[in-house]
Amino acid sequence: MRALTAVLWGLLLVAPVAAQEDDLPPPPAGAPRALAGPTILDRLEAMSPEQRQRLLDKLPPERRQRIEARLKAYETLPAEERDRLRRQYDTFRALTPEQKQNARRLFQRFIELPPGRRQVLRREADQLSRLPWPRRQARLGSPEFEHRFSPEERQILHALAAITPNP
Amino acid sequence: MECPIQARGKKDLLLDYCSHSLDAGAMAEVEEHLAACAECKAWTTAHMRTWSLLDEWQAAPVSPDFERKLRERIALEGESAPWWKSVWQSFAARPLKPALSLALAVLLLLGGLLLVRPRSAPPVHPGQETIDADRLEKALDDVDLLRQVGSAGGSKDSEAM
Repeated sequence: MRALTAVLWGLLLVAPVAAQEDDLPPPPAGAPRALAGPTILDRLEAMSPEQRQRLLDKLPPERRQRIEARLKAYETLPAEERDRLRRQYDTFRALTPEQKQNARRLFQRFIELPPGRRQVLRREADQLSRLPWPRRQARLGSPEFEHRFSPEERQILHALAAITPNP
Repeated sequence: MECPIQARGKKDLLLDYCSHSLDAGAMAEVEEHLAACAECKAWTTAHMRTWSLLDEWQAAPVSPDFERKLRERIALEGESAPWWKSVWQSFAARPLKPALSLALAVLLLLGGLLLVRPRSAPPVHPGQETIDADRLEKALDDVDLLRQVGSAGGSKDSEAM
């Protein structure tokens, strides 16, 4: 029994170290964080074609066709684009339901902006994404930022920053 | 005569000598040895001194109601002691230290395993899997929106998925 106890205590000492190796360093307070664990899309991607077909066959035909078409469109995206989307979606998933709803509304507004303004915001969002979270926050709260963007545009940029993982 | 201290199992002879239970012949034989063996002489002297001290000691008299008071106190302790104390005492009497250590280690290990988040998709068993179509479509909507947001403002805006 002493040997067994020693083994168990040994495991206890080793386990946290092993877990730490997988863990990313904790993001700064308030910084976007990604939700761990596979998404429903990851689960479908991991399935064999037969498994997935069996699963989708359980859906009504019209819905199944619609979903199949959308999945195909997603899967034919370049790997780099899909990787970026997956990372953004993991961050998006970590938002609260209210934050998600708000972000959806703001993203929709972003898409509807005039092309010229959209480009300005896109450039700003790209620059923000390269900054670590504290500097990103400082820039979002700077007087220059307030001067350059309308309140709604600032909200859009805040929402974009919220789904952009810390570099 | 063989030395009772050096020889195995012969020390009783010295004890019998000290308690004066040897016959005259044996007594004389031991005395003769004691005269020649300093070790046996010292052991016998020390032993006899202890016995003489015990003979002199007189126990303090017990009070007449000592037994009654003792019984009353035992009865009182039994009534007032909480149930957990008697349970603990019965456990404490046993050698439980290794078992408790093992139990604690197992509990901590299980707790740690429960806290570790799964890193990979749970296994899907054929025939048992189901799909939440609403959730899937919602996820596709969100990914589609993120894709449009990512491409909006770029060189070209692509079509929705």
